[in-house]
Amino acid sequence: MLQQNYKPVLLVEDDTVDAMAVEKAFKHLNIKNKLAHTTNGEEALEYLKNTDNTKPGIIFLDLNMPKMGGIEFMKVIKADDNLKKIPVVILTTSKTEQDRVKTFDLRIAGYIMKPMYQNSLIEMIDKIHQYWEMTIFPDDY
Amino acid sequence: MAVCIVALFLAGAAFIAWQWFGIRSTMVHNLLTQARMIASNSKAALSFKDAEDAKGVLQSLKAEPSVVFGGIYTKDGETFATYNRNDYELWKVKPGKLQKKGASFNKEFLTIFEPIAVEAEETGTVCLRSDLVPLDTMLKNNISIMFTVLLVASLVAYLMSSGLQGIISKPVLDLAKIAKIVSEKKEYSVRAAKHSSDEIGILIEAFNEMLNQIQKRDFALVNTNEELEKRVEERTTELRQEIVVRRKAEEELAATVKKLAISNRELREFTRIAAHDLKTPVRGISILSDWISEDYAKKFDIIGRENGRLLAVRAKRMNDLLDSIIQYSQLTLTDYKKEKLDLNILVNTTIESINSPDNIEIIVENKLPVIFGVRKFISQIFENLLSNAIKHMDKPVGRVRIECTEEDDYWQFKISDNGPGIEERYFDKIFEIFQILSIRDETESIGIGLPIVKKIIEMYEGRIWVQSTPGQGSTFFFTLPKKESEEIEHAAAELQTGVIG
Repeated sequence: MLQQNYKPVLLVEDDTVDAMAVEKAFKHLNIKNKLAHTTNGEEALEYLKNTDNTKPGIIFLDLNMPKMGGIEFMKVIKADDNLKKIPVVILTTSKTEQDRVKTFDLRIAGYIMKPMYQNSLIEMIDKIHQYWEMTIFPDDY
Repeated sequence: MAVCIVALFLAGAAFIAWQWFGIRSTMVHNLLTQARMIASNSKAALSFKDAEDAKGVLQSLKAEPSVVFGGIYTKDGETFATYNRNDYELWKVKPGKLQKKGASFNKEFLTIFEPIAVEAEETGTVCLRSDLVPLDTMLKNNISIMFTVLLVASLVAYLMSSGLQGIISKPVLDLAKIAKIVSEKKEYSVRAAKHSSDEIGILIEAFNEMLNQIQKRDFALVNTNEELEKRVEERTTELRQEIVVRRKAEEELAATVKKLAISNRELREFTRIAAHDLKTPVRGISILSDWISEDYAKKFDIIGRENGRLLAVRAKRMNDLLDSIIQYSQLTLTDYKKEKLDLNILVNTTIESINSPDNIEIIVENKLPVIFGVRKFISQIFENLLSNAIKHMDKPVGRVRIECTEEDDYWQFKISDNGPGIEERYFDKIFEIFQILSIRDETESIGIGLPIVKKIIEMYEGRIWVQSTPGQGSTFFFTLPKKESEEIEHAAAELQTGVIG
């Protein structure tokens, strides 16, 4: 996805099936980037703060999760000088205006509704991959 | 009384004056007569220069007590003969002062000069002088009498007037006094005292009778007043109680409305959350069934594959149902931005976004109004109705017409198509949630489109209904009130959020 070093993709998703679907899509599309999976905002923060882990090139973020939801998580990382530059794409079932407004206010890079069908998901991931592939990240990202 | 006295006095004075002048002239007349007699009688004496004779003539003056002096003078003015009354010695007419003729009064005396003439030739002068005693006496008498009469008359007049006063003026004044008391102090119980049976008495009787009547009326009036006041008070108390009761009812109503509004809101919120949460496992089912079908398709027989397909379809249906529920439950006017919407623009935008197939034309027949509302909801109305018309179109050439007419209080819209139409017995059913008129598996339709339209229109206090001829087409009518939408939004908002005012 992200050319130079194939930066990892962080998936923050609490539903097993939804997470599996994304993994399967990656496999199907032969995406080289590593997919890291955390099941809620707290876990995701831990992952990001852990210096052993490479900073992901993009975060796929679900909104409704236990312990720390998507919006809460976003507020935290957007307040962090180091983490705020990571592009975030929301992958959610929620269509509500409030969620859209709040997330856009927090400067997301995309808001996508989780599809019912695997094929549709594969299509979407493909598009996202093709798009972000073109981006050149700064050297000291 | 004073007038009386003044009048009497003037009358008396006038009379005295008249008398005085009268007596004076009588005195002059008398003395003159005497002078003439003496003149006549002493003609001879004078002519013959007989002084004794002349004196003797003068002596007749004794008979007149008021004559104090008599004198005969020659034509040269020399004293010829004189007569004095006893007490009068002082004055003798000095010849120098002799006059020929005339009468004159001075303070004390009346002096007369009368010429003695013999055959028109003057031979001498007679001078008589009398005192004014009669005059004085008369004056004194008259004045006394006058004053006496004045006094008596005044007394009589006074007595008479007192009497008359007592008879006429006093009762009348009393009456006036009573009338004044009545009108000033509103004392209707006083009565005038009747003293006589004459006209005044009759007046007093009539007056008292009048006071009777007034008193009765007044009494009745006061009674009625009291009665009325009592009734007003009773009624006021009644009304006050009514108000208290009513106010309490209003408060209870307001409290109930508030509770309902809160309950509504909670219900909406619950629905949204529940439906949303349900979608997750549903999606999981769908995706898993996908994987199973894909990965294990070879292992399934035809029935297995068909079951897999049915499973997927049902999962999708459930997802759509949940989406519809969420959409329907979120229909509320609160928290949504209300704005002025030019329907000409809005409807055309909607038509474009629907992307109707080439064989169906959608035409706006006339100019649409500018209304006030939530863009999302008003768009939804047209979107759902037009989509429906397109979805069900069964003719090779489809025609959809949009029209608007203006009424006093509202706008009436008409969307008509030449589709399959709807049977009359289903006219109401189509607006019910989840009612579909065809077999579920043969259609993707959830049956939420029209109920949503109906709910939105009813939120704006409008109406929607359909007319149709099966086989020829349907026409959907709906109204949107014109009234200042601020009011509606406000009222609806109160109901939805439970915040009153």
